[in-house]
Amino acid sequence: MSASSIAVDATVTVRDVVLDVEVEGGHTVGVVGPNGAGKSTLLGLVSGELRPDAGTVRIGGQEVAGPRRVVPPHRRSVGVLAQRPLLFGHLRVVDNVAFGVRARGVAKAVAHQRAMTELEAVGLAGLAGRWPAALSVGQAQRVALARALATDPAVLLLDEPLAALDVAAASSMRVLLAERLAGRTVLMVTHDPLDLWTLASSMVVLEGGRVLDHGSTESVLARPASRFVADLAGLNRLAGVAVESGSAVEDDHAVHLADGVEVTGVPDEVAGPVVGQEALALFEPAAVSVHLSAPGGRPRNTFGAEVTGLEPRGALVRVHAVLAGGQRASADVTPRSIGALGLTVGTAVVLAVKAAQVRIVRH
Amino acid sequence: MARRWLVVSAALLLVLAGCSSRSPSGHGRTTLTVFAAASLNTAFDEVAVEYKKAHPGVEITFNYLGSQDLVQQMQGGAAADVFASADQKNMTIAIESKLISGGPKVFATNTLVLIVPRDPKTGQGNSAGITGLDASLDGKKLVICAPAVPCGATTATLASNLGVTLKPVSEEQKVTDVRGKVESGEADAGLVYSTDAKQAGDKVETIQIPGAEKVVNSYPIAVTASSRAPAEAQSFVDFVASEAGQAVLEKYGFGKP
Amino acid sequence: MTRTPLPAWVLVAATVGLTVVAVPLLGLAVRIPWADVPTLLTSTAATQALWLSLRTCTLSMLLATVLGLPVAMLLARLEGRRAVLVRTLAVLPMVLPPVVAGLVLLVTLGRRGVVGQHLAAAGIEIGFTTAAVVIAQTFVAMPFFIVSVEGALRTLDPAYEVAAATLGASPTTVLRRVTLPMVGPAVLAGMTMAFARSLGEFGATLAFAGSLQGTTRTMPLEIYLQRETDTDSALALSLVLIVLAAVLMALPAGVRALGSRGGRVA
Repeated sequence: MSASSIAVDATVTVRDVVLDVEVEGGHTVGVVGPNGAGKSTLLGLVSGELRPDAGTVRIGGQEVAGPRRVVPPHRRSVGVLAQRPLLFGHLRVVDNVAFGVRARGVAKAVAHQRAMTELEAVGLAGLAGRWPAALSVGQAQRVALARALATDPAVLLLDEPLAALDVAAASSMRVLLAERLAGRTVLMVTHDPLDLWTLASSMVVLEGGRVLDHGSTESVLARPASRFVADLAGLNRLAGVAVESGSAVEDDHAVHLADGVEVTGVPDEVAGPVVGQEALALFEPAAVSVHLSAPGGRPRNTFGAEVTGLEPRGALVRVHAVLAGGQRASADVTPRSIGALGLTVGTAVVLAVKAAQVRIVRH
Repeated sequence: MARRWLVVSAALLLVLAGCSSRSPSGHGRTTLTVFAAASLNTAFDEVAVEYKKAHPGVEITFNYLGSQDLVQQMQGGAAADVFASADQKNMTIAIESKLISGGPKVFATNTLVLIVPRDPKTGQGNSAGITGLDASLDGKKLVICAPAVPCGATTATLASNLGVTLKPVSEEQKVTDVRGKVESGEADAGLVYSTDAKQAGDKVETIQIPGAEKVVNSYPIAVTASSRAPAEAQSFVDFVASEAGQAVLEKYGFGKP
Repeated sequence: MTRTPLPAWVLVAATVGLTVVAVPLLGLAVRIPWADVPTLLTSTAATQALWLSLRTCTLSMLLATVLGLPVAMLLARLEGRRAVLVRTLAVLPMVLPPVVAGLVLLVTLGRRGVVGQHLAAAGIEIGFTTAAVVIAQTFVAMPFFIVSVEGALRTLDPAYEVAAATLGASPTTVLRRVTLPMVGPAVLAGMTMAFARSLGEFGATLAFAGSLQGTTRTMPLEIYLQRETDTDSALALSLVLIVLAAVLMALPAGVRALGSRGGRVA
């Protein structure tokens, strides 16, 4: 199994993208970022769909795009699995999987055999003779994976491969991906934190055409570099300046928000705040309670806020609110409390969270 | 809505009726509709101008088409006052269909000639060196009318009279197409009526064929049975046969009857 | 999905529209001397005209395909003013009166034509040959092929071609194994239209190629000629052309129905 490294250090001027991304051989790196952050550009640079205006793209140490030469997509050993399966409707399943192998000049019988092996690996050997139109979306996506892997690509690019699948198909596909991606070099664009946790060992955060953050999935999600990542990690994130805590509890730190409110919490073990410097207060929506007036009891952080939206999430309802200073926070409450409190868009509320459930990190 | 449709339909009907009406229209003027063979086009236009000088009260509209088409139109009910055919055959059909009143009169003849192209730049003609319906045509591009059409029938008669076998590269539907192919230089030679040769002017050189004068194509003219102005129609027919009419026809290459 | 019913007046208007097409065909069917049809169609002139038409139309169709396909591919990739320019040029013969098409060919490829005079000097004369028929037919038929295929290429999702490229397929392989099969029905429809248009070609052939039995007198020219003397024969030949045209028009749909496996996974 080949597992080459990827090194992108390139500029695409028209899209205002300047990226420096490296993937170690044999690792899966998740790529996240809001729309227009440069995720597709990154994949395009590696696949060869896009040419860099400056800089280089290397696969396995070999320059595939640079000032001197650009290797066209079909000569790069790059497999792609996109959101849509993109199976060729005029070829049977097995011929779809054999397509890339055949394109490399391998004899039909050999390519066929290889395709059957890959189909077996995704559990669809029994559908080899079908036409793509006769497959479910989930099956088609599995065939697309088999097709991408049949050429034994040096690196694999996944572009939201589960986004078009329903919950059941996505979860079984996720299991299959975990199995089939092991040991390969993979760049995977996703919007789903579950994909990051289950499939990626590290991740890259792109915003505005630049790399905002990178590192292990755990560290990046634990200390979100942007609101986008905080949302992805499912965390409330309030930014401000770190100050000494005035609270009685030992080791407490506080973040002083722009509007004068202070958030007290526990300093992060790895990246604790430095007094006088920018810091973030992080806490889960589940830890936040919603009141119509300030509750008693200490130690608690309270923020005056206004409800901006209610979003059902399973058995709970997520209350989105904007704080007086303009920062956003959300709270998960039961539908019953929504009714009891009479919450609706525009309701003035007080959000409360215990200091012990707030983590303070360096920004 | 329905009423508007009625009005529109009525208006359409009126227009259609207007199209087909040829009755003497106000102001004491008479309009003659002359159905004439296409080959008479330019000649008859001039004949009409001359005719009107003598008959200021008569307007003439022409319908120039192939003789066969004209007969078919008249059989279909098209209104004509005068019918001038390019051959006896179609006049006979018209008579048999009871479309003609009185007897037809031959007013012109046409004979076949051989034409060869003239180079438009040098003015030099006959680069293929054609001398007539003879061996000079071997390997050359000769274009004639298809035997199924009148000019082709005449061509076939002439060839058999002369005892020659023609090997054309194309048998055209219309004599004007033969002329066109020679004029453009595509063909080395073509058999056309002398009137066509005349119309081709400088673009071709004409070679007279000995014996062609014996294969004469006659042009008969007659007043139709359905004419609403038979007197004027007859006067037009007479004018065509008169000295003045004949002078015009001769100018366009037609022979005397 | 069920659709809302059509208003009654649409059905009435559609009936009128179909009648306009059907009545003349019916008229032919009534008028045609059915008993004599076999005899009429087995005359030398008829069989030679039919055979000539089939041969030249097949050649023209193939030429239109071979020459039209690259044009369609180029056209599908062009945008803006250049696309308008190239498309106008490519489809012009489609709307050109046939006689004009013939004249254009004559002044170009004729003996005294811009190109033709050099060909003639080299001993190649196209006028009055079967080649002239094929050229005239290709000239008028190719736009139909180009329009059909270009439309399909334009609406083709480029993601499939990109997917093929990442699988290691060279541009030629992508074209051969993905693009063309995916626009296959349109190519077939285009070929059929080109054949049908060639079959009906009359004016340009008459003006450029002439009319000689077995060499340049195709079915339409034969019908036109027969009409002069033998209407029955002309009608019988017309029947053959109508049947041929009907078969051609039904062909792409029929093939599509046969190959109905061809749904695509989006």
